[in-house]
Amino acid sequence: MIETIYIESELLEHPRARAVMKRLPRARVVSCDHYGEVFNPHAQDFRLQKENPALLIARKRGRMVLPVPPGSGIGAEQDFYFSHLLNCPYDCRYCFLQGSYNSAGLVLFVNYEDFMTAVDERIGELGDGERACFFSGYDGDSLALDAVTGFAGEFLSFFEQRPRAWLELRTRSVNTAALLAREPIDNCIVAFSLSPPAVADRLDIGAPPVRSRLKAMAGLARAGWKLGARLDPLLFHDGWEQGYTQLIADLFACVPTSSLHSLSLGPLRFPPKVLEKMRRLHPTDPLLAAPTEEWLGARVTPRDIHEQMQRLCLEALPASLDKSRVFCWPANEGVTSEEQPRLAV
Amino acid sequence: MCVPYTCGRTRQVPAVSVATVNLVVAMGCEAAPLLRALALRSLPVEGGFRAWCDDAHETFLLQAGIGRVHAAAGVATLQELSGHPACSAWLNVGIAGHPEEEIGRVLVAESVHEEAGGRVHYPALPAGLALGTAPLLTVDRPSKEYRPGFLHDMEGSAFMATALRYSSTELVHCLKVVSDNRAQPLSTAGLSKSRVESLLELAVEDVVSMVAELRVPAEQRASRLAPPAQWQKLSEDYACSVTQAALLRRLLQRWNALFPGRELPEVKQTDSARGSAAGELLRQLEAGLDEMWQRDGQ
Repeated sequence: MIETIYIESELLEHPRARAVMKRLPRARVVSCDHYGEVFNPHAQDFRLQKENPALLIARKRGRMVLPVPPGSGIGAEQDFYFSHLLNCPYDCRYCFLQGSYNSAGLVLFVNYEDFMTAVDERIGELGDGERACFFSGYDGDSLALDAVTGFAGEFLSFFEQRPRAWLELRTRSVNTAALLAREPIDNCIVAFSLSPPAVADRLDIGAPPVRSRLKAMAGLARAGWKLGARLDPLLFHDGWEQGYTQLIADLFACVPTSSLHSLSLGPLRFPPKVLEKMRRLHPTDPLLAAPTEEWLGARVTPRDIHEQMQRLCLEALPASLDKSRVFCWPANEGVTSEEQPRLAV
Repeated sequence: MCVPYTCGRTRQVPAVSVATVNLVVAMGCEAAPLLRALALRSLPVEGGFRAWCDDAHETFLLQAGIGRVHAAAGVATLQELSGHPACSAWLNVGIAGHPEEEIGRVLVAESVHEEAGGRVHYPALPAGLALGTAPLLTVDRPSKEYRPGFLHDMEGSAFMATALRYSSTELVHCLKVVSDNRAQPLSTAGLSKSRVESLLELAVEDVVSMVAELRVPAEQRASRLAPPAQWQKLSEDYACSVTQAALLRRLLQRWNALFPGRELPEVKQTDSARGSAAGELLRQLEAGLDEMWQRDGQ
C-alpha cells in the first residue's frame, strides 16, 4: 500500500494527479519542487525503500521518447520506448531497475499528453510503409499500477488512432481490467514476462504467480488481444530444462499460436555498473553472484549456458508457431537463417 | 590456504557494521525525560557536549546545544562516540513552533527546509507511521513569524544534512513537539526549562516507539552491509589497498552466496614480480570462483 505521495507542487491541481490522489485517499501528500529532490539523492537505501515505496507524481521533462537498445525489437522497422513510470511495485530479484536508481520510489509522470505528442513526432518521421513499436514497460511494469494510473485506457485510445505505431504493454501483473473492458485494438501487444514457476515463485517477489499470468493471457486471447511472451531473461537454475519445457507447454496450452504476436528470448544481462550495484544490494543472492561474461558491453549469463537454454526453448516451441514471430537477444541469435524474423511487417 | 604474503602497504580497514539508534537534542531539559525513559547513562565526551548511552551501547543520546552549528557538530561527535557504525538510525528530538497546531502535538518532519540556505531534505518516512507529519523549517533566530503549515526549529536541517553523511534517508528523522503557535507565541523570555521538560514528557512514548521502529531497518541494513567473516583478516594479511579491500569483499560475498560453508580455494604463492600479493589473491580467488561454479556450482 502506498502511504506517501510526493507531488511536484505545480501539479497539485493537475486533473490526472488529482485523480491518482483520489484513488489513494489514505496516503499522506508531501509537495516538492521537483521529484528529483526526493528521487535522486545518494543517501538512500533502495532495499529499505522497497518495503514501503512512495509514489512520486511528476512532470516528465526533456526527451520523452527514446530509441530502444539495439537488438530489442519485435519486428517493426523502428523501436522506441517511453516511460510514464520509473520503478515497479514488484521486487524481482534480477530486475535491473534496482541497480539503476538510488530510490525505490515509484515515479509517475502524469503529463501523458506530452508523451503522446512525442510519439506523434516519431510517427511523423517514419518512412513510407514503415512502422514503429513503442515499448511502455522499459523502466517499470506497464500495467502493475494501472488501477492507480489509468495509463492503459488513455494510451490505448491514443494508439487506436495511429495504426502505424504499435504499443507494447509489458507486464508481470494480471491487471487486465482496462483491456477487457474495451474492444481489442490491432496495434497493441500485451506482453507478459514469464519464467518457470519454480524460479518465479522465488525471484518474482510480489508479482502474481505464473499460472495467474497465463490465465490472464488466456482471457486476453479469448477477447481478441494480441499477446507477447517474454522469456527474457532466461534464468539459469536447477531444473531449468524441465522448467522451461513445461513453461512453454503451459503457455501454448493457454494461448493459441494465432494470438501470439511475438515471443522473445534473452539472457540475463546487465550494464556492468548496474550488476555491481545489485550485488551490493543482494550480497547473499546466488543468482547475482554467479559468474558472467562480457557480451556486447553487458555482463551476461555465460554464453555457452545461455545458448543451451535458448536452444532448448526454441526446440520446445510448437511447430505451428511461425518462427518469424520469435526474437532473440542479441537480434536473432540462435534462429537459423531460414527462420530469421522478417524485419518488414 | 597458504601462508599469506606480508609485503605491501597497510591500510586501515573500516570497522564492522553495527546498528545503533542515535538521538540528538538541543537542550538538557529536552534530554531529561528521554534519559529516564530509555535508561541511558552518562558517557564521557569532549567539545562541550553531554552524551549518554544504554548498557548495550545500542542507543545513544547527545545534547548538542541550540542552533545549526551545534547540531551538526553534535551529530559528528556522536558518530565518533558511537563507534562509527555505518548503519545507524538518527533521530532529532525537540520542541518546535507551528502556526496552527495545538501545543503538545507530536509531529514527524515530512520535509526539512533550511531557511538560510534553501536546502530541502525529504526523509523517507517509516512504514505504518502513526504520528502526524508536517514540513519543518529550520531558522537561525527564534521568531513569532510563522510560515503557514510548517514546524519551526533551529537545528533540523543541519542535523539532517550531517546525519545523512553517515546514514540513509530512511533512517534519519526529526520528531518535534509543538511548543508555541500563533495563539500562544514564544514570549521574549522563551520557555522555562520545566515547561520544555513537560512538553517533552508528552513525546516520550512516541520517541521510544520510534527508536524501536528505526532499529529494525537499521539492523537489516547493518546485516546486509556487514562484511564477510574472512574479509578483515584477509585484507590485513594481504595488505590490501582500499580498492583491493572493496574488491575482496565483493568476491568473498559472491563466494559465500554461491558456495555457503565451503572453504576458500587455496591461494598459491607466485612470482611477486607479476603484481602485488593482494592483486594475486584477488586474481586467484576470482579464478577459483569461476572454476568451482563451472565444476559444481551450477
